[in-house]
Amino acid sequence: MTDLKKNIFQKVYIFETKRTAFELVLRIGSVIAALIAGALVFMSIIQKLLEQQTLDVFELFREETEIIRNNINEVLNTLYLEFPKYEVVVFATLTIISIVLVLIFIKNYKKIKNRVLWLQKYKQSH
Amino acid sequence: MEMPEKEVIRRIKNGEINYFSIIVEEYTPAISRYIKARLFQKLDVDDLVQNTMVSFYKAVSWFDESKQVLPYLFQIAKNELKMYFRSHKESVPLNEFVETDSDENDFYTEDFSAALSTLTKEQQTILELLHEGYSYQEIAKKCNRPLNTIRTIIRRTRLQVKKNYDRS
Repeated sequence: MTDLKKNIFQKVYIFETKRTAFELVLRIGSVIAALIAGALVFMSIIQKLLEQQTLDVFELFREETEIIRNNINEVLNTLYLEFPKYEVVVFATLTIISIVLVLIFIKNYKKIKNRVLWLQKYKQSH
Repeated sequence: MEMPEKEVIRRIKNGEINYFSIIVEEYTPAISRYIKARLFQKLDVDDLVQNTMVSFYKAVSWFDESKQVLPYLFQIAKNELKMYFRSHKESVPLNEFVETDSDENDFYTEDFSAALSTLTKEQQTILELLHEGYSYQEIAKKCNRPLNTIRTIIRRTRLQVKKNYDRS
């Protein structure tokens, strides 16, 4: 390879290293951040339900089928009233965001993998 | 190029950067010749060629595969040349004299500046923009005039300056 071409690829290498590192950190970081945020919100939902003793309504399912059938609507209504709706919406949103981010990462995985492999190969040969 | 250009671009977009060497091998000579023909300082040719190819690589994610690569590279090279000329500009405003030691050169500069000073403000502005490396289209956009009008103005201005200079 002539000097000119070597210099071109050297500049491409420097640019691509920065870009790929930034993309990896951004993509993985955002997935982890969304998952952690989702987990925290989920934990706060459970904590709130425990404080309100809302989960006690599930003791109904220890009863006979007849009793469950007669009281299920009341149980569901109680759950609906006592569930922290705002936190549930946030949790659902974060879950959807996490899924979308993971799918985007999977879609771009091959591209990023090819870049990383080229960077490795270039570094080893120069 | 054995592989179609579209396929090469697609592979580069897919992260297979080694295919960029095909583009470099294929088009560097043409870009080199283009820049060499327009540059006085031949030492800077390689730098500009490198910048052109690297700029293309950076923009390849947005590059439309259905279009040809070479015209796009020429456009980038043109912009690189423009930036180069702007950064290496040693221009003197049209209403100032160029200072030299020789009396003969003073006389030349005085007459040339005198020839330029007979131009209208618009003509002077257009000549300045042309000297800075702007294309006719860019000048037309800046001055808010049709392209053909700019061409006519430049042609007439050049004739006028030559006529005034010859007269003096």
